This record gives sequence, structure tokens and C-alpha cells, in this order.
Amino acid sequence: MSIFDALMHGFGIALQPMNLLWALVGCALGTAIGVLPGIGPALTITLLLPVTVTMSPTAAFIIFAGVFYGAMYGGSTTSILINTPGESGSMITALEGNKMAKNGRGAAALATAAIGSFVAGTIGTALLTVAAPTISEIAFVFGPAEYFALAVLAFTSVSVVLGTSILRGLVSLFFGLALAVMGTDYQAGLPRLTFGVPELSDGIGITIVLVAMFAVGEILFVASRLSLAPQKIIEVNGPIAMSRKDWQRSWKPWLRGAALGFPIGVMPAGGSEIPTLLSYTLERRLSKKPEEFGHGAIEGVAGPEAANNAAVAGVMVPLLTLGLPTSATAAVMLAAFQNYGLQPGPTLFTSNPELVWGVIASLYIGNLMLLVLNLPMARVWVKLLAIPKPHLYAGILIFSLVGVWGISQSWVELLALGVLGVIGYGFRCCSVPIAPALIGLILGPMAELQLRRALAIGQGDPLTLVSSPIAAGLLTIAALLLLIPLIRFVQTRRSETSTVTAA
Amino acid sequence: MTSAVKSSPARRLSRWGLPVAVLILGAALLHEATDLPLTQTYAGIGPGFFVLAIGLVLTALGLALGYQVLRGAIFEPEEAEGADIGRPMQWKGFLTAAAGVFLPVALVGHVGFPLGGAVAYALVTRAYGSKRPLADVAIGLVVTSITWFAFTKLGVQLGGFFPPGGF
Repeated sequence: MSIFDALMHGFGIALQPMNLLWALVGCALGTAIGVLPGIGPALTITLLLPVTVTMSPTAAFIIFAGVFYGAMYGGSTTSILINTPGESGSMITALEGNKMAKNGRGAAALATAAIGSFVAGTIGTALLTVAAPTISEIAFVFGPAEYFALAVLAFTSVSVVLGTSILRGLVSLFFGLALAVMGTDYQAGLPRLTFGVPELSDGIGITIVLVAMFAVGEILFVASRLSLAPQKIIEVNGPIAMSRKDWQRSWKPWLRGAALGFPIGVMPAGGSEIPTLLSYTLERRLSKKPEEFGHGAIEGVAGPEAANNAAVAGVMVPLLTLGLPTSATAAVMLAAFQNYGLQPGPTLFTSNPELVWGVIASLYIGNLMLLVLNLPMARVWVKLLAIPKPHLYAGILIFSLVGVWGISQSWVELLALGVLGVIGYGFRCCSVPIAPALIGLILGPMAELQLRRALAIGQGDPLTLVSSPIAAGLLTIAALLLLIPLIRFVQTRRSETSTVTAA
Repeated sequence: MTSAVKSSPARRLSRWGLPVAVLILGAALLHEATDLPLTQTYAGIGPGFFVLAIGLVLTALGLALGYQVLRGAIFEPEEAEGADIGRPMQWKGFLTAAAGVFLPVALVGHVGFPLGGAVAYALVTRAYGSKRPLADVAIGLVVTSITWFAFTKLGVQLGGFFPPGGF
């Protein structure tokens, strides 16, 4: 079956009335949580997990994909109108977009963000359509050693890239790995790190960790340092549209943003922050009037917004083809696959084509829906910010409790939610990034399983891990990611006496 | 460097929180690893190997963080929407919100999800500056009841509506 036939088959599934409805639900929900503070796509999908258990995986993933894309659209609206990026990928948009809105050009900023997101999201999805089946073919040669190397690469790149300090990124990663080994060892049947608590013998649920670290940690943190400054929403008058000149200034940044966003999104730990930053820098350098940047240059909104949406499509490639999550949201989606007993990877394209292609087709449809939901209706979404903060955060806690209480109605799990929530609070207090912990928790068991398999095949010889060029190459990149910053650090400290820094 | 002079003993102590916590976690894993077999005859490595490796790395990370603190590093909180990280920590807000998180542990099983959730709801609104506790409990009860009915309808098991009343 050619890619085109497969995609058409996917559209046949995605265009079924119920699936269209789920796509709309996902897109609307994604836009809403993108606008609201304190709640992002990873948390939303986590909270949806218990609800979607009764649905078919195709319907569930159509919703998840809509939430993932929608959050990027919604995040740009708040960045522009109140200068608070709802999502980390919208941080750069807040720089220029908010300045534009203050200069009375809010409508043009919203329009270039929404249309640029649509253009780049569609280009990204088209690239995903072509790239994913091809990469999944390559992935067929992957054995345990390659998968282990891939996990190590994901671990190191996530810890190095996310957050402000590599050391704290690694702390987060290894905290996640420690949580991952909790429970009964599957091979020897021995309890590990259960401290004699019977409830821990199944390990700690991914949902609990996610909800605790993201939602409860955030509730506690914001409560402890509540901002007293009132929010100022900038009014936008007139239709949300762009002038001819705005179109002329926007279309090239859209395309360049898409060209940056997709490939970086595909890479481990690419995420959406780096391509938006790169796109912004590139647009400023290419601009004929760089002095406008920082004072409301439309290119500075068009490029980064396009880049973050293309990156989301890029993130789907390693997730679907290799089962490799490169962002917190992708990690949650991997956990959702595992909930359904599905293992993303090359075999998914042959064993569940209706799921894979139905979801990919729904990404095209979702992008179109999001354009309609966001372009004429941006003002409606902003109204969500009228929800008083006390009730918003209280509501988030209620949904967190549903997510955990709904699993097994056990008070032990509610206690785990609270304790891990306090740890999530501690992470925020010391600027320890949370995403590496999630990647460690979700990929940790896979890494350990593949390492044991690889060593069993190689009869215990550790050299078997680097015996294939792919595995050796991936591990080399992983080592370089860690070593290069370390070497730089040591070089800058050379004048000082200590050599202990190598630890 | 006036801030360093002004910092209270409690504040200086709190800088050690992260390295000490990481070291304790590392020590717990190393302790656990001693009880687990490290190798297995056919598979090369046993259940203890990963635990030992993670424990060793965490201990090393804890030492490195401690070294950073000794050299004067301060781990600043990260930016979050609606939070003003320039303000000192508000214990009242934190503890009230924490009560909202921990009270359901004891409550929900006995009085049911809607009522237990409503108490948690009111505590969080209080932590976020609301001054109308009774109204908040009422709003919370409406929110949790709707949530209970909707999720029960969707097939999520949330237990009885009000177990002491027998339903």
C-alpha cells in the first residue's frame, strides 16, 4: 500500500462523524488549556487517560493529538494579549506579539500566529506523513542494543537541553529512573524499592506521578508565591485579519519557521522551545529592519509560531516510529499507548494501520478546525481568563483527584499524589526541570529491558552494546552531548585550582 | 553582595535542601541495591544492577550539587504563570493549599468524593485569596457533584456519592 493510499484510508477513518467530533473536542480542549495558566497539554492528556480507557485507541489518540496541536494555538493567544505564554513554546511570541498588541496591532499578531500555525502545522503534518513510514522501515533493523542506545540518547539529550543546568536536568532524570525501578522486578520477581508497602509492589502509576508533579506541584508553588499584580488583557478591536503588507512580511517567516521546526522536533529533545528561539534569531538576522525587533515586528511572531507548530508534528515522528518520546507531552502519549497494550514502533504501522493513519489524517483536519476555532473566535477564548484564579486552581485539584481516585479508589495513591506533589513543588523551588523525570520514568523500564536483552544475546559481553554502527553512533552522540558542556565547564574553571569538578 | 549578608540562617540552610535530598535518595537506592542480586547467570545483569547504577549516579550528583552550594550557588525558583518569584515564600498560602491536597487522603474514602473534594476545593480557593469559605464550599460541592456524575457516567469508578448515607 502506498503512502497516499494509506493516508486516504486514514481520512476515511478520521472523517467518520464520531471521529470528527472527537477531533473537535480535542482541538477545543487544547485551545482552552493553552489559554489557561497552570495546565498544559501533558497534564490534560494525563487527566484524560482514565476517561479514554473505555474508548477505542483511535478515538483517544485523535483527541490527544487535537489537545497537543490546540495547546500551541491557545498559548499564542495569551502570549499576545496578556504577555503570559501559556506554553513554553510560545515564550518568544510573547516578546514581539505583546508589543504588537500594545501598539494596537493585536489583530494582525493574532492573525499571523493562527494562519502561520495552520500553514506550518499542515507542512509539518505532510512531512510526518512522508517521513514516518520511511523511518519505521529503517527501525525494523533495530535490536535491543539499538533501542537501549536510543533510550540513552533520549535521556542525555532531554537532561542537557531542558532547564537551566545540566546537573539539575540529570537529577530530574535519575529521580524518574528511581521511580521507574520501583515495584516488582519482572525477570526475577523480586520487590525493588517497595519499602515493604504492598501497594508499591506494582510500582508507582505513571498517572499519579504526572498529575502530582505537574498539577499538584504547580498548585502548591503558585499558592506559596501568589502574584498580587492584576492581569492586564489588551483589548483587540476590529476583525482579526492582516493587511496585504502583513501577508507579504509573514509568508516567508512561516515557511522558514516550518523548515526549522519540523527537523528539530524530530530530534531527541528537540521540543518546541529551541526551534522557536532559532526562528526568532533567524528572522531578526534576515530582516531589513532589525531595529523593529523588540518593538513589535510581525516576523518575530510569524516565524516562531510557525516553528512551534511544525515542531509538534516533528515530535510525532519518533513517537510513532520508534516509541521514543522527545517531550513531556509525547511521553504521556507513549504511556497512553502502553495503557492500550500497544507499543509504538515500526510494527505499529503494519499491526494497527487504521490507528496510525487515522490519527495522522485527523492532524490535517484538526489543523483546519483550529484555524476556524482560533481566527474568528480568539476573543471568545480570552474570556476563559475571566475565571477567578482561586476557582481555576481549585478546579485543577478536583480533576487531579478524579484522575487518581478514579484509578483504584485507594487512599495510599492519594497520599502518593500529595507526597509527589510536594516533591514537584521542591523541583520548582530549585528550578529542576520536570520533563526529564517523566522521560526517565516512562523510558526507564524499556531501557532496562533492552539492556538486559542485549546483554543476554551477547552472553554478558558489554561490547555487544556498541557492536552495531547504529548503536555505537547513537551512544557516541549521547556521550558528546554530556561531555561537550562538561569540557567547556572544566576549561573555564582551569585557572582555578580544583579538579574535583569532573564529578 | 548585600543579599548574602542579609540572608538568615534558615535561608542559608535551605540552600542545602536539594543536595541533601538527592544524597538521601541516592543512599536509599544504594542500600536497596545491597539486598538485590547484581548478576544473573544467563542474562548478565540482575535486578540490582540498575538500582546500584542509579544510586551511584544520584550520590555523585548530590555531591556535585553540594560542591556548587559550597561555592555559593543559590538554586532560584523557576518562573510560573501567576506566581511572583520575587516575593518571599508565603507559608500560609502553601500550607492551606497543602491541606487541600492532603485532607482528601483521609476524607474521600469515608464521606465520598463529592464532599471530600468540596472541602479540598474550598481550601485551595482560600490559599488563593478567596475570603468566602462557605460560598466556596457550596461552589465546590456543585463542581465535585457534577464531576462525580459526569465521570461515573463515562465509566470512571469514583465510589459512592455519600457513603455514610448509604448511596
